[in-house]
Amino acid sequence: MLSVDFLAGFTIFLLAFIMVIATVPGLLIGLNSQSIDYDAVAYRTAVVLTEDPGDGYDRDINATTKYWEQQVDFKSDIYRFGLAASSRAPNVLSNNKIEIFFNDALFTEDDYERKIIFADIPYAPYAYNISLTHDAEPSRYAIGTPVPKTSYGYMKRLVKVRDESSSATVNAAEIAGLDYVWEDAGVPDNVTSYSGDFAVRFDFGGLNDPTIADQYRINPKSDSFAVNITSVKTALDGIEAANSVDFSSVMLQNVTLYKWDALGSMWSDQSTHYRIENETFRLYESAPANLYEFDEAFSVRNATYLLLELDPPLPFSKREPSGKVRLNFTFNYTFAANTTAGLDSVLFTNHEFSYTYGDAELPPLSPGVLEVVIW
Amino acid sequence: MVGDDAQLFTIEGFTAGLIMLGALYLVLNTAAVFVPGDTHIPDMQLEQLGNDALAMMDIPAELNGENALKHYIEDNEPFEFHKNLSWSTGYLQRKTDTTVFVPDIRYNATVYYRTTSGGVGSYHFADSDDYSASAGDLVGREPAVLVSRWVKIDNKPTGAPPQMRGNDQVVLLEVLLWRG
Repeated sequence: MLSVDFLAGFTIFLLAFIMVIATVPGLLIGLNSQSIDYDAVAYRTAVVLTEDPGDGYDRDINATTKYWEQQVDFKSDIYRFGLAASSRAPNVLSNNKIEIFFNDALFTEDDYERKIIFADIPYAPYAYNISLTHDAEPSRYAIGTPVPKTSYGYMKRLVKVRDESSSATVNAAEIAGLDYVWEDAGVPDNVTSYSGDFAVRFDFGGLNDPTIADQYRINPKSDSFAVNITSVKTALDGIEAANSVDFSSVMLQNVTLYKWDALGSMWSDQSTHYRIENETFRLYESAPANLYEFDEAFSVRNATYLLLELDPPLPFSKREPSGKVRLNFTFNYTFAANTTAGLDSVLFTNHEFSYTYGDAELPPLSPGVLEVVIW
Repeated sequence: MVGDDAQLFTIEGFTAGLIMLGALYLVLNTAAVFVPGDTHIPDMQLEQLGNDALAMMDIPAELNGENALKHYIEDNEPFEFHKNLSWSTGYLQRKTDTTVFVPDIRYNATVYYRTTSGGVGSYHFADSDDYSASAGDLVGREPAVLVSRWVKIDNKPTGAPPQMRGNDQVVLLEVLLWRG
């Protein structure tokens, strides 16, 4: 016969045992609080990359700028990374920013942790892997370390990449029929040499047209420009045949930068203030290997094309958003015999090509995907 | 000489103690534990992906270019919509190959419009079951998320229900997404 004492003791023991077993499932809950926010950090990083153009400081104009990709000389001037071309066009990314951001030779892990992951350095750094692919680029952009099999936070965003370059083509063989001339200076009688200009004009006010959406707008502060003058030899051959002229030489004499002076209503020569150098301007003749050195004349008599490339930012575009600049190419023609007067005896007699939306070709936006993994 | 009467007091004491411990246990056991599954993160990731896909279709590739989403609805091209959204070249299947990717997202798209009498009508636009090799793809294991986008169209789409207005209007494209 069981005593009440035994039953009471056994009941208490059994209850205590049940309570201990009931706390066992709690051992299986992962209570490491740091791992819970990996998804949140991945989401935040992806949002900042795809929807924010970033922030930096431009020493040229002593002001903050969203063109942080142009400030890599002073990394402390880059406050925050961002890949969006504009905050008004989310998910449209800037190709220039992508090229600089994914160049891990320029930045250290610490830079990425501070300027885009916003980790608590040095106490709680995150491991990261950020990658991007898009249709116009065959290889994948990636920074960070390889992703583990489990326990990571993840975010994927769909994007379109804006190739920040535009180009325009001028066919020299058709230039006579086109309305490019700004100064009707014909070749005078009986001369053996003549200088005529071909100018490329950039009107920042026209390019910065606010009625054009940010993802399609040509931006002189961030875009590359290319002007391709084709069929130069064909045009010169045609002039020789049609007008009984004989060129003994056609030389590109020099390239001069002019800026529109609104006060004086004239183009002012910037040669003394602004040095045109091959780092930001490049002129090729007939082949990518033939790069023009801006300090000496060279012959263009047999040039199949002349390609001018300009890197961002265009001169004076940062300080004067509605300014205008003009690059004058001065060509010097030498004739074998005395000429007769007329416009048709040379190729360029003060022709001006205005770089506008109607003439420029912009590459289409390229669809892609950005993935951010944090652990 | 030793009686059993005092046992009742002892048992009363034990019972009171057990009741107190039991109450304490119940209180402590109801404390909520924060786990990742509670924050519906996979749902948010899918919803963001769906929103991005519709936004990408709504951005033309070039200045004055064709708006793909408007074209699909206005010209009644559900198959083109399906290809652009759900095929291996489509937006939902884009990846960078840094993580394992499982192509299992299903969808069901509906267009809502204002009727000629002022009410709201809808018609089925496209779904992942329409174009799949195996029928019955409209099943899944997880709850669906809803993404939507307003689309301005210039005229009534071909094959639209008769009560839809004929002039230019704004319709709502709603897409249910889930993992199959």
